[in-house]
This record gives sequence, C-alpha cells and structure tokens, in this order.
Amino acid sequence: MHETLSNLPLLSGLPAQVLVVLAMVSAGGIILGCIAVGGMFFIWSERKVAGYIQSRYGPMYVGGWHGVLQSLADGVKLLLKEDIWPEKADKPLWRMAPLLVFLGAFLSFVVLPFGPNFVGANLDIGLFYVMATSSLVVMGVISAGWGSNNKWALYGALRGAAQVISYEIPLGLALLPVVMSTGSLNLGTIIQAQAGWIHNWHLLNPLFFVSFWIYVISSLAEVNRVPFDLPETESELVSGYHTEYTGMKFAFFFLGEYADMFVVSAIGVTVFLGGWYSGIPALDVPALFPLIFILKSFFLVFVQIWLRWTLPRLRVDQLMYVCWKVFIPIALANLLLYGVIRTVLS
Amino acid sequence: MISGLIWFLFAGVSVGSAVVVATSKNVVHCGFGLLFTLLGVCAMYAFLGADFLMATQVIVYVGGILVLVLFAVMMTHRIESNRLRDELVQPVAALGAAALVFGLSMLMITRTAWDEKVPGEALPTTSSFGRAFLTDYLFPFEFASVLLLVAMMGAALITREKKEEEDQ
Repeated sequence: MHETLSNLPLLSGLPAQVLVVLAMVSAGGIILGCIAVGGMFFIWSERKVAGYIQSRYGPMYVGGWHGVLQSLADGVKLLLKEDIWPEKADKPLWRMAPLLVFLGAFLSFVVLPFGPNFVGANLDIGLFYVMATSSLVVMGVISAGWGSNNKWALYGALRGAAQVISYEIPLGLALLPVVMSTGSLNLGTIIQAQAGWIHNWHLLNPLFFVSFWIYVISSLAEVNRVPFDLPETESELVSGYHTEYTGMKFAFFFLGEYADMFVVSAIGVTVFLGGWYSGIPALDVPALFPLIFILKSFFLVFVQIWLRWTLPRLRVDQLMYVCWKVFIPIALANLLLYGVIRTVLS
Repeated sequence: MISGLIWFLFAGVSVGSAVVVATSKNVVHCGFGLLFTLLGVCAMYAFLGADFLMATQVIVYVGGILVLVLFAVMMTHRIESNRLRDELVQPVAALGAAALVFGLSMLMITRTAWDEKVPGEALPTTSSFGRAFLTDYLFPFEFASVLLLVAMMGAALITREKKEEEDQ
C-alpha cells in the first residue's frame, strides 16, 4: 500500500512519513467503504429474500430495478434522523457501544484473504486474531445493554454476551482440526492447502465435514442470527440491546451485524470451502481469486438469510443445551479422533 | 517517528484508562476502563512483535475475564446505588500496595539480564510457543491445565449441590 502510493506521480514529492500516514488512512478508508457497500447490499438482499420466501416483492421502487438503492435511501434517512437518547442513560457507555460493535467487525476485515496478494494484513495468527476481535463485539453489546438503562436492553445484552462467549468454544474447537492439519493459523496458508481439484477442500474430509457443520451453526449464534437471535427477540425484548438507539448509532449496529455475517462466512469459506480456489484448476487464475472468494462468502451469507426466514427461534435453555451438551462434546471427540488418526498415520 | 507517536497514543490510552479504573466511583465504568487498559497493553505487545500474546490477551482477558467481571457486576442487586466509598484509609493502603508492587517490579526489571532485540517485523511466534510448551515447559503446562480442569469441575460441583438443596 505504502509502496503503491509512493509510486503515484502526484504524491512522489511528499516525505515518507506523510505517505505512511496516508497509506494507513486510505487502507482504513477502503475497508470502511467495503463494509458500508457490502452491508447495504446484504440488507437489500435480506429484504428481497425475505420477500421471496413470504411470497411478496420486498422493496421495489427506489433505484429503478427491484429497489436496488433502497438501502442507500435508508442510509440517508438514518443520517438525517434526530439523535435521541434516554435521559437516564449512562452516556459514555451508551455512546461507545455502537463503535465497539463496529470496531470488532472492522478489525476482522483487515485479515480476510481475498487473494494471495489481496489481503489487508497477512498475519501469521490470522485465524486466532479473528477469534480475538469477536470479543470486542461482546463488550459492545454489554456496553449498549447497560448504558441504555432499559430492562429489555439489559436482558438482551446479558443473553447476547452469554451466548457469544459460550458458542466461541465449539467454534474454536471446530476450527482446530483444520489448524492441526495445515499446521498454521495463517489464513492464506490454510487456503493454499486446499489448492487443486475440489476434493482437496477441507469440507470433503469426513472429520472436517463434521467440524464444518458445527462451525456454521455456532457462527449463527456468534452473529445473533435466527435460530439464535435471542438477544433481539422482538416478541419479548422489543429489539434487545439496541432498543434505545436511533439514527446513525443504530446504523452502526446494523452495519456491524451484517459485516460480522460476512466475516464468519468468509472464515468458513477460508477454512473449509477452499478460499479463493474454484475447485477446478483451469479456472484458478489470480484475476478471478477475489471474485471466487466473494461469491462463495455471499453464498454462505445467503444461507444465513435463508435460515432466518425459515426457522423458528430456540428457547434460552435449549440454546445453552445445544452448545454445552451437544456441540462441545462432538467437537472435542472430533478433535481427539483427528489427533489419534493423524498420529497413527504418521 | 510516526510509530513512536502511535506508541505514545496507545501508552496514553492504557495509562489514562487505568487512572479511570482506579478513580471512578461507578463499578461498571471501572470495568470498561479496564477494557481500554487491556487493549492498550495489547497494542504494546503488537509493538514488541508478540503477535500470539496480543491475540491471547484479548481472548482471555477481554473475551473471558472482563465479560465475567461485568456479568457479576450487572447481576448484583442495585449496583449503582452502592457506590464505592473513598475513605481515608483506603487510598493510603492502595497507594502503599501500589508503591510496593511498583518497587518490586522495577527491581525485577532492572536486575534481569534481558535478551534485547530490535523491534521490527512481527515474526511468527506461535510455533516456538507450541514447541516450548510441549518440550521444555511440558510439566508446568500440563500442571496448569490440570489445575484449571479441577477448578472447572469444582465450580460445576458447587453449583450442582446448591441446585439439589433447592429441589429438596
């Protein structure tokens, strides 16, 4: 990034330190732009898919063709909306919450590998780093719930935090066999282990296949999607931890949520679905890598949307039962089995 | 120069929020102050090229311990009316304890022969961590694991016994 900028004729006269700052700011700007555009696209597609599943059209007017610019119009509306806050809110925490939620999603985007040379920061601990950034989202949710000074918000926040920290365990355990197999936490290395024909994808290894389903279901809980959307159950908690938020603050929660959906899908694609490889060696040209990666991730996001409009919601006790008594034992047994097989075979 | 400025920014964040943790009278604000202190320390690790330690810091302290602390605080009845009192004895005792810890850690820092390296590119540290845990430090590593497992089982046992008493 820094080198690209210093090669531009317009900027070549600037001192190196200014260029470093410029490179940092523009890298951040690019990620922010991706999240905003991607988030708006996902919100539009969520409404269209919901409409299709419920035999109606969804947004049709704004932007001409099938209401494609509906999210942009909504964004402008949210920008212009009056910023209302509860009088007895804990102001610092209440203001900080949307930023923390958004920051968690933003930081994860930095390591997503769209192509071999098309990644914000090629960290050696990529997978571990993504697990770490999701902790910030939990803090944002707690901060929103407490700061709002509202019972619904607090209940939603407590549920959200309990759910996310519980499901982080099966999520991590499901990813571990793949890490053992590739011997690396670097997302690029994990993808390169799946090069070639489609049978090299980790999904098609029987033990990783089990891991994949545990990962997908746990990631639904991580991003508070149906059937695990207990933190924002509209029939009992109004809308949970973001009940009191309006305008741009609400928009940050909303964008953060959709960005998180993309992040968990992209990690699923990276670890199990061959990342930027298409599964057919003839199609694997570097120019197509980002496209393939994004299309696969969009497909997993679509699955999340599809499930949301299909499944009913679990109860709180069922949610915890599934996590602690079903997923964690299966994931642990799977990990142990993989370790044993690997040791025996080597 | 710029990385120096950013270093001071993060150092300022950790120290500033640590002051909030120590002085704020609202327990929840203390908790969130601790969040920024931990994140600042995490940035320090990043500057030292300790990438694995950085992520572990966030997962263990922010994602685990801090969330549990805030949970406990929020589930306490009427937490906001019970503001922490600053009596005369408490600040003196706290200052004494802080001075003692500071003195001891300074003593340790100055007496240790550090293996000095120029901070540069973040080198992969994960594999060397793994190797060290499973060879040279196998016993402490396993010991800590068993200790944590026992603590976990103990916690589960305590909550279960209470539940049975309630049922009777």
